[in-house]
Amino acid sequence: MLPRALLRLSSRLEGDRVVPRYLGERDHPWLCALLDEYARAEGEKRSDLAARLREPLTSPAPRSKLRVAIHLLESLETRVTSAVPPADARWHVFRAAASMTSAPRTDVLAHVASELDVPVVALEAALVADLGSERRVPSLPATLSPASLALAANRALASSLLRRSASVRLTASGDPRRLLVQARRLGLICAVEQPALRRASGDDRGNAPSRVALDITGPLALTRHADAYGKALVSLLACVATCDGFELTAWCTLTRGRPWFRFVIRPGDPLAVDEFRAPLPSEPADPLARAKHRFAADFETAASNWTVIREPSAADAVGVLELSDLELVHRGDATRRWRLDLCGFWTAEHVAQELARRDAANLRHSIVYLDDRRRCNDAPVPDDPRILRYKSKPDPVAVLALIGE
Amino acid sequence: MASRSSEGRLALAAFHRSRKMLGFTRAKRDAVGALLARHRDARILVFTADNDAACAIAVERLVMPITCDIPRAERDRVLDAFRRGELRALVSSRVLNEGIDVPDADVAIIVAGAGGAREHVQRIGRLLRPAPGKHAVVYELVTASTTEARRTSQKRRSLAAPRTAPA
Repeated sequence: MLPRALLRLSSRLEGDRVVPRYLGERDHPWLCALLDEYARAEGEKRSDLAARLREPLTSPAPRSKLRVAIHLLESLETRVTSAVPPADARWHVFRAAASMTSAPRTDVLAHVASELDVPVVALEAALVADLGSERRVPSLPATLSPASLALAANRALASSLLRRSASVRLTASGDPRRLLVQARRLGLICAVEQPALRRASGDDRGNAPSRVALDITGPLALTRHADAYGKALVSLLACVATCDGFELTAWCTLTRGRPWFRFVIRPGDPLAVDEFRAPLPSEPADPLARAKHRFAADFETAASNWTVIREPSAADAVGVLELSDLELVHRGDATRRWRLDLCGFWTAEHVAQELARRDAANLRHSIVYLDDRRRCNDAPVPDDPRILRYKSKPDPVAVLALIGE
Repeated sequence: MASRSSEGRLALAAFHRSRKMLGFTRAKRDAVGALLARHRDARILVFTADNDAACAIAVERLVMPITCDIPRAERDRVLDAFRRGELRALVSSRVLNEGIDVPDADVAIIVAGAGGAREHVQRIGRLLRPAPGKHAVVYELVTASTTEARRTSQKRRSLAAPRTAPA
């Protein structure tokens, strides 16, 4: 994520809108010069390169864009390779130097090197190998080009703004089924709204809708897990390209707390959304998907009278589409059906709203199973028998008790 | 404003280079070595203008560096070792200035300082904690006939000026 000050410098305000200064083709000449500078500095101290980069490049670069590009290049992984872990080398060498006060430097190093069984040169190199200014400039990935660096910078700008949002509205048309599934898999706190026209016709009940609007809670609205949640939110962008059209509006802030600005992403933005990947390839969806499959298997083992539908159809709950993770159906009596949600990230307010919507839509046979490790604020959880909570994994016995078996 | 034009950026870069050179000259390198040798039985804090100089002293003179890149656990272990006398000297650019409970030292060597009078007072204050029979020594290394000499004398004048108590 880009630092707040850099994000401010790299955006302009148009009324209540914040518009990032995206990089484009006209930036390629100076990006090329910057990459050349990095390639020349490979293996040198980072501080030496930083000093050189204070001077103008061979091709003039806009200050804010240059800083974003440098920030990205600096965040490239640098693995410290040394014969001894630098912290161990420091601990042994400097303590030995303190105890051998009259011994020359070479004797101290030779003594410690023989103790650690490493060459003196390697020991000396390890002493400050991991310290910022002494770190070496890594070799750049072979695939890195001015165009790919510009794209990475644009995505960094967009994802940094998204991660500083309090609420997001994402409208998508076409076949947004994958988008909805992914939002659930990522555990995002959201409500899915159907457009009025389709809802009035009543023809998409139980089918994938052709147009939806997702109201998603933003990371800044949460007091816990905001960082992990922000990464999950950014990775949802990977799915919007599967829809025919979309528009994402995030309310975000560039200063502490306020004022709030609108940040909009549309298909034409230079983000190559169809290949978008989160900056950090963490997969927060995986634990949730695993929990769901494990619970379904455990439940079927524990309750032979019940069957589990793993991808239940959507239900309309007063204009809001209710998607459940599982549906439990009694084998002998198909009218005994329960919808089960294994929530990802959650807040007490969101759970209360979900249950209220289901009550209004007469979807009373619903169970909300909450993972205590993903609680995103401290508000008291509503006292409702349909709410179950787990610490390590959902328990089929608790669900059976709730549904009266 | 200067960084908005190529000429300004060149001038700024040159300014930074000159400050860096002045902060750790060959003469200062030698002087640090001589002072560390002179006080080989004392507990010494060495202050530099930047991390590069701190790392250079660490490697050349085998003095433990404390920079912002040193993880907290290692820093705590190092400060404990300094307290117990297992380490005799520490070198740092700014980390030791404030916010860290640094054990008493007997000698301070100020190789260079990027800050003003406040930073200077904080650095010296690390040594002047009252203790019975304590005798602390502060060395400030200044390159003659440079802007550094002028800044140092200005700093001293401002520290020596009488302060009026708030009404």
